[in-house]
Amino acid sequence: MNRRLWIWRHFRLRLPADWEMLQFTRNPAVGRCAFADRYAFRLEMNWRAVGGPPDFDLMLRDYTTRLREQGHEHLRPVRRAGWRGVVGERQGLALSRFGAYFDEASCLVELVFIWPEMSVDRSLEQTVLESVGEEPPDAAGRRRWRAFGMDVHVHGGLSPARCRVLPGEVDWVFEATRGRPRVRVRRIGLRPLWMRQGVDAWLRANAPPLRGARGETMERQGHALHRWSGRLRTGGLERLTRGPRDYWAEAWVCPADDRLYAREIQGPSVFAAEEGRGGSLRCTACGEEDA
Amino acid sequence: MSRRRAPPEPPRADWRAMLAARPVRNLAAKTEPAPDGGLWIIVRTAPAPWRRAPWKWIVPGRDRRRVALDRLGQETWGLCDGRRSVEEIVEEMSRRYRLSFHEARAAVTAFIRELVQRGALAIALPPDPEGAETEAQDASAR
Repeated sequence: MNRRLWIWRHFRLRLPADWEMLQFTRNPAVGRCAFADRYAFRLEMNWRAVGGPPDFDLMLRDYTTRLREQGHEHLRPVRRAGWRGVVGERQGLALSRFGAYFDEASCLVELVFIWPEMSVDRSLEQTVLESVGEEPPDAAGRRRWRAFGMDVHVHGGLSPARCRVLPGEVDWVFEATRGRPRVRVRRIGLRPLWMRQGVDAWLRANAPPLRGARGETMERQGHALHRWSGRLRTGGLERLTRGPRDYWAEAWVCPADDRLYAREIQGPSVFAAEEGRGGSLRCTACGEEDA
Repeated sequence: MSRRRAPPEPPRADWRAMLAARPVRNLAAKTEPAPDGGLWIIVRTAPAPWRRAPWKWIVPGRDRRRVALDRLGQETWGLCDGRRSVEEIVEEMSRRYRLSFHEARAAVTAFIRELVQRGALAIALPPDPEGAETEAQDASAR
């Protein structure tokens, strides 16, 4: 079975290729995301930042009691691929819940498998559990996110500030806590319906007013890549308080899925230059960097 | 997992029944080309009790509703032929526009919902397998 790699909140997991992330939260302290196949939700991943490893025996005992109070039946504890959990049934659904503590992230992760019509697949469960791991920062401290057809490497100090996912359009913004440096990645489909100009013209039309703007065109792994960069035109007061800021953007159309990919960076000159060189956006459709 | 909190309920959405349904066009709905190259669907509405003379001479109103479709809407409308299920329409739109299944599902079902609300489409639900079994049992009893 084909598997697809997802990286969210610095956790990686490999899921069947037809499962899609339909719900997500951005909060690193506590949150969840849920994946569905064509017909129903199949997996939920919950996380919670905690001070240290929990007492799993005690936690599972309390957890099982609460599940029983909620009406779950046939509950029994299980251990699989280093995960502790409990399996049971409720209202015609088989549910398997597994928990593990991840040391580096000081985070407790729970995976809930939902098996419609009691069609439990223990080998799939095992493979998914084995695939879950922490995604550490790279040597430069950059973090990797992989979802919605994009594989993104961004500065470690940035976190997702906005993520809008619509049919045929993903708009994902990473910002520093103070809100100055910013990386925005986009993946836009349905091109025959809206794109009337070339990628180069689209990139220029979407850029803010710049001083000393310069463009560049190059080839990268079979993609015709266009870049547009320059100094942001800001008001005098803004320039005094926030300093000069640069803008750097690149865009291309991936022939594998006919979608427009774009990455734009705003921030101080050093940040924009370093992030432009070191950070990256890759399309997952053409199989780039699937490792 | 947590000791103190109640375990969260996992999401329960199941689209099986919705995907098996078949959108059927309102036979009374007519289509007209729009001046901008799009398409209009014209649906006659049931006459309201007050839409009679002499009130209708005073209170303006229309006895038909017009729905404007863009290119994507036109293609989806074209696929709503009463034979295809929602799942088949979603698959076709996903293939034409290289969308993922759920991207196409969200777009197609939002469109169908709107046209159902406006009276241009109706939804034919698939026969209930349990109901079919009951009927078969009744027939054998006779």
